[in-house]
Amino acid sequence: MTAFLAAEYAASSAELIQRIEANIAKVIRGKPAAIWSAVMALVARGHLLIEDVPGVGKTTLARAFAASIGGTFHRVQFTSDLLPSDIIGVSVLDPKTGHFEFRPGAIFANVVLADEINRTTPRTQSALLEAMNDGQVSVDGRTHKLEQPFLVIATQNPEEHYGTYPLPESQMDRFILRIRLGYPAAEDEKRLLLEAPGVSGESLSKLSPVLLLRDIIGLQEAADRVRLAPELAEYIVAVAHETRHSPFLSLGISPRGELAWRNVARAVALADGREFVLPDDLKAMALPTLAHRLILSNQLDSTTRTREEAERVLTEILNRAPIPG
Amino acid sequence: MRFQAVHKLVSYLLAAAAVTLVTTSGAVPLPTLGLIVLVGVLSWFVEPGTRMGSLLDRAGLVFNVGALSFFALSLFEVVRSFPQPDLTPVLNLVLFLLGYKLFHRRGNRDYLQLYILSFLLVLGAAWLAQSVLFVVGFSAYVVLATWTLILFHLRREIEDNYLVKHRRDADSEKVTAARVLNSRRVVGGAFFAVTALVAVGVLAGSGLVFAFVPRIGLGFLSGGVRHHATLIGFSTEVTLGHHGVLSSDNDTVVLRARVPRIAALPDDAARGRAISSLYWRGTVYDTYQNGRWLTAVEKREKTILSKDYLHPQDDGSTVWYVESPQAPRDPLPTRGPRPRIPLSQTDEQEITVVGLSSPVAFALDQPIAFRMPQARLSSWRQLGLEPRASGEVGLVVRSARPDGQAMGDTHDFSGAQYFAYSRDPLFHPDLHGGIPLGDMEAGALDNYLRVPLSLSGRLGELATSVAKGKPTALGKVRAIVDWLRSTHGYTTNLQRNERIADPLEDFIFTQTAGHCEYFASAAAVMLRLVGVPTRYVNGFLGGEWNEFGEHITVRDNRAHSWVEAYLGALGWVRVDATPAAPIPTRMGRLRQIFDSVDQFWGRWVIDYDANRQLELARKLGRQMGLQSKAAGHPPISWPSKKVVALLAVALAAAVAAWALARRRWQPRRAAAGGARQRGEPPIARLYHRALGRLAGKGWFRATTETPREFASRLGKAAVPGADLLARLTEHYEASRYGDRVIDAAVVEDLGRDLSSLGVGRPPAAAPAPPA
Repeated sequence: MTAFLAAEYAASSAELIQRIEANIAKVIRGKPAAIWSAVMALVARGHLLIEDVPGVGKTTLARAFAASIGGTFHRVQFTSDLLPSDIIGVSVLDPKTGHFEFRPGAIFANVVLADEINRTTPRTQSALLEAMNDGQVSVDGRTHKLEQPFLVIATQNPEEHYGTYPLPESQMDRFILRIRLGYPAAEDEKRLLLEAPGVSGESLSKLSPVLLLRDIIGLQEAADRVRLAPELAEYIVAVAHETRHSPFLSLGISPRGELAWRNVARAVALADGREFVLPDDLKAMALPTLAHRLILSNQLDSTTRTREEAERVLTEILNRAPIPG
Repeated sequence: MRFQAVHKLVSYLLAAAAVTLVTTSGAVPLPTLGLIVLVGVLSWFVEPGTRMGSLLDRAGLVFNVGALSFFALSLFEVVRSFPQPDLTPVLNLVLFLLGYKLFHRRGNRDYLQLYILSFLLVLGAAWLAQSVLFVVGFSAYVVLATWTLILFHLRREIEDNYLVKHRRDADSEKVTAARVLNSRRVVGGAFFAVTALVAVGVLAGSGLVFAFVPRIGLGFLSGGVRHHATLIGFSTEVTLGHHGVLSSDNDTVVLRARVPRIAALPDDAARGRAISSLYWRGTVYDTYQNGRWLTAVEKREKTILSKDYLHPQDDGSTVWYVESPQAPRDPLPTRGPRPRIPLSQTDEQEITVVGLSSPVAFALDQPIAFRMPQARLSSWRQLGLEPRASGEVGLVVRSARPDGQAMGDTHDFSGAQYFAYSRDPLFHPDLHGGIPLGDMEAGALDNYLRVPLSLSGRLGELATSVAKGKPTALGKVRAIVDWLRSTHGYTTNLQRNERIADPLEDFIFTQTAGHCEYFASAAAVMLRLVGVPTRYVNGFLGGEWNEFGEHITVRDNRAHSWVEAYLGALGWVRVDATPAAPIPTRMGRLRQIFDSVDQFWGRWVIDYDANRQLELARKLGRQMGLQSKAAGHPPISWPSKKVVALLAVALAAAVAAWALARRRWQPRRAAAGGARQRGEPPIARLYHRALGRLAGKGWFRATTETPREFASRLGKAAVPGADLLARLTEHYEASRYGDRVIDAAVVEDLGRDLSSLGVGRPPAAAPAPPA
């Protein structure tokens, strides 16, 4: 493992992160928590799943994100007839050269918005998810590396039942965070309505990058070097252990889940200007990082109920786990 | 119920329990009791603050003067009754003050005084109590006291110490407790259940302390003479001639005896038969005069008690052989003492005196020997024997010092215990027990032949005619007993012809029935008239078998009188002229239980002292197999292999359980940082000191709470020094989770302010840590 992060570097990292947040907040009002979560997912080298109804600003968030970090942005609207090749790309015969040429799919961008991911077939879903996980795609025996930094923001509508293919929990595990945007506060909605038409769109196009892609990679590397006290590792293991033995859960947190939790907590610590993780970081990020990885033993068919139930069980486990220190 | 009402109710119940306890000791006369009950009931309705209450408050001076004069009067009475102080005035004073306080329940202090008074009453009751009922009452008192004191403490906390800060710059003020006091939620069933359980635990614990903590007996302080409510006295004389119904319903227990021979009998029927023929021999009289039996024999007729030096007892007790002055002496003194009957061939009895005021050692007829216990460890007194006339053996309290002087004239031997060894003279005729009358020195038995001159001549004529043609003493005895039984019946309802001066003559010539005293007197006098020496014996016949305690209980209604006649070589032989009257030999079951409990109570509580403790320890030891084989050296005994193995297994199990529990909790403790390394950095030490300080003020960090959450909780509650804790927490976090070294100056700086942490009451109720 590399040496731990220096305290001074942590402070400057926090400043960078704040800069991204402030930039995005220019175009999305009243959603600092969602913005923050997205930045955390990025810093922790993960991907974000937003579970929410349409029209609350998911796309805007993703776009603003891409604009802020000066990266490329692709949006894929998932439908039932979407093919894996639409996402990862396809090799086509170039009649001029007589060679197969790789045409990159939608996934080749720094920020990819996978809209309504549960509307497409499991086959296409898994193509996306594998690419997300590996950071590369393989087509016709050739491996194409995806550009770094790489962040997928997927959305799914939990209230819809017809014509959807809900993501199995094993696939959900690949998202580092699951958040809800929720409706903005009444005050923010009012301001949104009173603003001149097209202001948001305009401002989105006016949004300029506040840092370089290289800085993002730097942040990601810095996060890797945030110190996690051994006692906190024990705490993570203890909580994961509890979820695996809980009578209310049929599937607990996997080692991947533990790693995700650690990474997010590191990102949070970094955002706070600290070079070490506090138990508070872990606690704060437990629900969005872990809840979607759990399977209830008496799985109810409604997704909403399932989520609430899983969060409740997890909260109880966290409330029982002693904090080291 | 409302908190206030519950508090009042349990306080009253506590006072009532104390008064009841004193009442069971019999020290409170009925009018006093009635008065205190009346005062209690009236005071219930006088609430402080009401019109009646304030009226009484104004009359406080009168009350105080009354209390003072009562105090002076009680003091005077106690001083006057010296050197044997009577505690009754003190008791009355306490009762008076209790009534006074019941009317003045203004504040917590009054309630506290009420509890102290009730405790004084309980102390008094403990001093006086003999009955097993005391323990029932006392248990109730302990439970009530637990409730009351908890509620009292709670109330005091609420009323006196519960402060609220209304403004930042203002001092904290007491809250008005009325809302809490009227709350119905504070005290519920769970409170009573749990606290009662706690009280039971306390009771059990104090029982263990009572049983096993080494103690000195009360006798050490008081000289040991216990007051006993009911004592059965055998006076120095027996008077005939009362008429009316002989009271036979006095069921006061006189003594209890364990007789191994009886206990070993196979069934209750056999036991009943055996018990009905047990004669408990007590006082002996030799002279009949005008309807009275007296003791008048000279010194040389005294029973001889000889100590058995040859066979020392394991437990330090002493065996005394009882020898009659009429027993034949060995003609050759050089051959040593006369061979004695081995104690193993006698009936052993362990006798406990319960309610007998006579200084006489009762034993089955006829006692061969007595074994007296060693002086109690804590006591300077020792129970001893005293030779008396006519084969009577007296009890005496001696100084335990080597000179062994008799002390005072104690009449109460309640609780005294000794062993007696007896052989029934009718079943074991000891042909060498006596000397033929003819061989005796002239006039040796004259005392037992004397008949008062006041008796009319016709009694002598009657006796002679009845015993006519019977040359032997035994024949005369038979003839006279047969005659008495054939001509007279048994009754307890006596008739008396006042025209005949001597009640004995009245019985023999005009009455047709009488009870044992008359039959015995008639037989004794008539035998004397025909030349057979007799003496009159008072004692008890039979007893009741108690299968729980496996002992025989002898009650006063079994008092009996019989005669001992000197039959030459047979010595003194028991003659019972009274026709048999059926008396049950078994108690009712409930009575048996009560009797056993009472026996237990007397033995293991009232007379519980260091000796009993040793006895208990030995008993436990025996049951655990600790008894030593070499009975000669009881103090040093090595535990048997079985016990050692058992202890080892128990120890191993305990260690294993401990280790398991440790393993079970270890991860948690480690996770909670409970297992602190010795080399923890100064900042961590400081932080934990701060946590300790805060915990002392009622602010606990929950194990599931992060340091930051705790600091923020305290900050929100505006706990004094919360900002300090926040700074401290920040440094601690850096050290604990970030492995950063905190500057010593910073630590010192923070440590200096630590004393201000949590000082002063938190302005609001401490919010519970998150679950």
